Amino acid sequence: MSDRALKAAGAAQRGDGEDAARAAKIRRSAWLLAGVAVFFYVGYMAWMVIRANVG
Amino acid sequence: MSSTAIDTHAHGHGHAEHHAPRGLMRWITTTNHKEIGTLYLVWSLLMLFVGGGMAMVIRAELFQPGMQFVNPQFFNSMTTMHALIMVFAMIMPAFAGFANWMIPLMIGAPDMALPRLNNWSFWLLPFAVGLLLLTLFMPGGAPAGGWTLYPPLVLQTADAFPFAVFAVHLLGVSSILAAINIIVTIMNLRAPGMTLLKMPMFVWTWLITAYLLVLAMPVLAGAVTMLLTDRFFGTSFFSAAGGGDPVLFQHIFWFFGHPEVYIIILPAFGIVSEIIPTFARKPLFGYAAMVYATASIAFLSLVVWAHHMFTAGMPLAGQLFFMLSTMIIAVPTGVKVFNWTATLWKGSLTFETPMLYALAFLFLFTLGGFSGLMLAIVPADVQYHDTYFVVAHFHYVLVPGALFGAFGGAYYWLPKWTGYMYDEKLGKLHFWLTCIFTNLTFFPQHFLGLAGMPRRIPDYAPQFADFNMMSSIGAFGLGLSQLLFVYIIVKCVRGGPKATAQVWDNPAGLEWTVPSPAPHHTFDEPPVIK
Repeated sequence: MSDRALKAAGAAQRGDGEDAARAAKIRRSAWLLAGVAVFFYVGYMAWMVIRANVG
Repeated sequence: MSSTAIDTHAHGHGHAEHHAPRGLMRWITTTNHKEIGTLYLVWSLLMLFVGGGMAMVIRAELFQPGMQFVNPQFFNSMTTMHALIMVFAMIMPAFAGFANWMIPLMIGAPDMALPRLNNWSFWLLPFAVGLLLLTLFMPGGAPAGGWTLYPPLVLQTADAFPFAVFAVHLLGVSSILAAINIIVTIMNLRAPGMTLLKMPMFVWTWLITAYLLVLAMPVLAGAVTMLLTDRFFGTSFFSAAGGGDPVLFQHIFWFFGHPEVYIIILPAFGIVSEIIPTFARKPLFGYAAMVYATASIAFLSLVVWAHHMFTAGMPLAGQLFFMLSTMIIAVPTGVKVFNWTATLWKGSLTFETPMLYALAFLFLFTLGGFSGLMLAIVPADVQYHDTYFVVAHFHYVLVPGALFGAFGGAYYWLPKWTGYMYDEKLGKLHFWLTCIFTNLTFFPQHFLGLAGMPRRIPDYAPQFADFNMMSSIGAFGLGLSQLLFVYIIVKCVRGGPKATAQVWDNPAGLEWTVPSPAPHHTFDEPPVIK
C-alpha cells in the first residue's frame, strides 16, 4: 500500500479526519454493492421457489 | 478525456521494496495494484495458451472429415472447456489486469481502494481454474454439454459436475469482488478536479462494465446453484418430469450471458478509445456521446437475452421485442464506430503496432457486429441457429474485438509497464500474422454455417471439407503466432531502448506524467486537474 492509502487506513482505524470519512464511505459502498450481488443471487432463487409453489 | 490541464508534482518515488516480502511470497501477498495487474496479465497469457491448446485439438479433429484424433466425448469436453477457459480465465482476467494497472494511474489514485480484496480477487482465480481443469482427469471426463451448461444435457455430466459448478461460483466471486473494487476506486479516489466527465474513456468503460458484472454474475451463480440442487437435492427447477422447465434455465443463463458479451467487449472499446486519439494526434471525437453510447449499450444488453433462444419457442410478441431491442444496440454501437472514424478523419496518423490493432478492431469488430444484426432477424436466425455462422459471428466479436483490443492495449502500455520500448518490427509482424490467420480461421466459418454445418460436432459431411481445412490451417497459424507475442514481451521486459515518460507523441492522460517504468508507488500526493 502507498503512503496515502496507509494514512487513510490508519486514520480510518482511529476514526479521524477526511481520510477516515473517505475510508468509511469506501467500505459502505463496497458492502452495499456486495449486498446487491447477494440479493440478486439469493433473490433469483427465492423467486423461482416462490413461483414454483404458487404455480 | 476532455481537454484537461494537469498540475503534476511528486508523482512517484522509489521506496518500492521497503518491508516487502521477496520471491514467491511477494507475489502471493502483494496488495500493490501494479503487481496485481501484472499477475492478472501473466495469468491471462498463460490461459491464452491453455484455452488455445484446446482450440488446436478442436481444429485438428476438424481438419478433415471423419474421426481423426479424439473421441466425440472428449471433443465436446474441448469445446466446453475452451469456451469456459477463454471467457472466464483468459479475457476477463486480461481486462482486470489492464484495470488494475491503469485505472489508479489514470485517475491519479495511489492504489485501488481495497488492496487486500484486490489480492484475494486474483488469487481465487488459480484455484477456480485448477478445479475446472482437474475435471479433465476425472472419471467420465470434463463437462461436455457446452459452456452454456444447458439442462438436461449438463446433468448427465459424471463426477465432474459439482466441481465445475463450484469452479464457476469461484470465478464469479472473483469477478464480482474485482468489480466492486473498481467501482469504489473510481467513485472515491479520483484526483481533485477530475469530474466524471473528465475521466478517460477506458475508466468510463470499466466503470460501466463493473456495474454490469455486479448485476449479471450473481444470476449465473443462481442458475448453476439451481442446477446443483436439481442434481443432488431433488429439486425440479429445470426438470420437466418434476414440473420444472429446462427453457427457464436458458432464460436465466442468457440474462447473464448477453451482458457477459459486453462485459468482455466494453473494456476493449475503452482501450481503442485511448489508442486512436494518440496515434491520430487528435482528441477523441464526441467524448460525451461515447460515454452515453457506452451506458446505452450496457443498459440494452440487459434486455436482449432471448435473441439467443428464438428457436426454443416463444410468443410472436416476444420474438418482435427481442429482435427490435437487439437491433437498437446497433445505434449506440454505430455512434462509437462513427466517433472513432471521425477521430481518424484529418488526423496526423501513424501506424505503430497499437494503432494497427485498433484499426483492425474497428473494421473486424464491425464485421462481427453486422453478422450479429443478421442473427437478430428472427426468420434468418431460425436458419443460422446452431450452425457455424454463429461460431464465426461470436469469434469475430471476441477475437478481433476483445482480443485485438487487449493486444493493442498491451503494446500501448508495455513501455509504461517495463520502461523499455518493445521491438516495433516484431510487433508489426505479430499484428499481420495474427490478423491474417484470424481471418483465415474464422471467415470461412461463415460459409460453412450458411451451407448448414452444425456447430459442436467432431465429424461432418465431405462437402464442408475445404473450408474446414482452411479454417484449421488458419487456427494453427494463429496459435503459433502467439509464441512471437511471448517472445516480444520477454524481450521487452529484459531490455531495449529506454522509454520516456510520455512514450508516444504527446498522449493525453495522467498515466503519461509518471516515469517509465511506473514507480512502485505513484500519486502519493494527488495531482490537481485544472
